[in-house]
Amino acid sequence: MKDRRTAIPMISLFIIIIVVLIAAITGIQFPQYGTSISSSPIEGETNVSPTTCVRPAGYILIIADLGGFNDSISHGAPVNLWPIMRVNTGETLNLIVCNLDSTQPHGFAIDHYLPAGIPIRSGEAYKISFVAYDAGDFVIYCNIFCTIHVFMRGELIVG
Amino acid sequence: MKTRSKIVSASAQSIDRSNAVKWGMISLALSTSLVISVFPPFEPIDYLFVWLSSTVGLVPEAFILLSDLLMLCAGVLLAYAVHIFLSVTRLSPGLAYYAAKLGEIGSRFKVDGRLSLVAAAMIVVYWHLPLSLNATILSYPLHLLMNEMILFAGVLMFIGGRRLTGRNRHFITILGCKAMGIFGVYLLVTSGYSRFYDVYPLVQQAQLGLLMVVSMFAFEAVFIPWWLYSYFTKPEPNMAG
Repeated sequence: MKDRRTAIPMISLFIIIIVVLIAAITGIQFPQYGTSISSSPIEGETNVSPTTCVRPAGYILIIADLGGFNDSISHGAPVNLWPIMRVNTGETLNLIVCNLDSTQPHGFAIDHYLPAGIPIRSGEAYKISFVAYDAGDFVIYCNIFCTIHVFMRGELIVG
Repeated sequence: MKTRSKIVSASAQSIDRSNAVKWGMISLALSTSLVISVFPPFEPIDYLFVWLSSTVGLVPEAFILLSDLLMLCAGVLLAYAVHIFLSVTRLSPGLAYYAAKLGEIGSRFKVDGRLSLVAAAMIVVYWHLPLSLNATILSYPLHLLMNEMILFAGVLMFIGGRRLTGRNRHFITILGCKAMGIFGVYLLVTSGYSRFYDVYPLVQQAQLGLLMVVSMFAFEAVFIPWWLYSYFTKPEPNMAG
C-alpha cells in the first residue's frame, strides 16, 4: 500500500514533466511552421500549377527522385548543397519541378520565396515562376516527410 | 555483529542505488539517441533509410513503421529513466510538496494505470488513420508532432505497464503485435482494389502489409515462448513493481 501511495505522486509528477517536455518541443517546432505560412512569397509572381515533366524553353528543370534534387546525394548533400541556381536580382526565375520517384511524394520549398512549399506526389510536376527581387543565399529544401528528406537541399543565389 | 550487518546492508543499498542510476543513465542515453536519430536537424536515420531503400528496396511506409517503433521504445526508455531517477533521488521540499498534491489529485480521481495503455493505443491508432497519416506525410511539422505524440504514447505504455503483472505485460505486447498483424493482413487483402493511404502508390500497400505480418511473426517468435516460459515456471505476483 505504501508503495502504491508513493508511486502515484511519482507517476503524476512524471506525467506533468513529460507533457511539459512535449509541449516545449512542439512549441519549438511550430513557430517555424507559422512563420513559413505567414511569409508567403512576398514580391514577385508565383504561379504553381500541375503540368507534365517536359522542360519548356527558359525553365530550369529540377527532378526529385530517390537521388534527391537533381541527384543531390551523389553531389555530397546535405554537406554540399545541390543544385545551386544563380540569378540576378530582379530576374524572373522559371522552374519546373518533377517528382519521378514512384514510391513517395516529395516537397519543394525555397527559403524566403516559397517557404510554404509545394507537396508533389509521385509522377506530378509543377511550374513555379517568381521574380527574385531580394538578394541573398536561400536554401532549397524538401518540406514534407520523405525518406531522403535530409539529402534534398539545394541553394538559390540571388545577387 | 549488529554494526557489521548494518554496514553490509548499507553497502548493499548503495550498490543497488548505483546500479539503478547506471541503468537509468543507460536508458536516458538510449532514449536521447533514438530521439536525435529521428528529429531534425540531423535525422541520421535518413542515412539508414537511403541505404535500405537503395539496397533492399524497402518501401517508404516501412520507414514510418520503423520510426514509430523507435519512438515508442524511446518513450518507454525515457519513462523508465525518469522513474528510476525519481525513485533514487530525494526530492527537494518544494518539489515533494507538489508531488504529494499531484498524488492527492491522482487518488481522488482514482487514476488507473491501465487507462494509460488505452490512451497510448488510441494515440497510435489516431495517427495511423488515413486522414491523419496522409496529412503528416504532406506536412513536416505535423509529422514531427506525430513523432512527439508517439513518444508520449511510449511513456504512457510504461506507466500502464507498471500496473500489470509480468505475464500480462507479455500478453499485452503479443496483443499489440496481433493488432499490427491484422492491420497488415487488411492492407494486404485490400491492396488489389482500395488504396488506404492516398499519398503512397497502391502497389506499396501490399509490401507494407506483408512487412507488418512478417514483423508480427518475428515479434511473436520472441514473446510467445517468453510468455509461455514465465507462465509455466514463475509464480504470478499480485502486482508488478
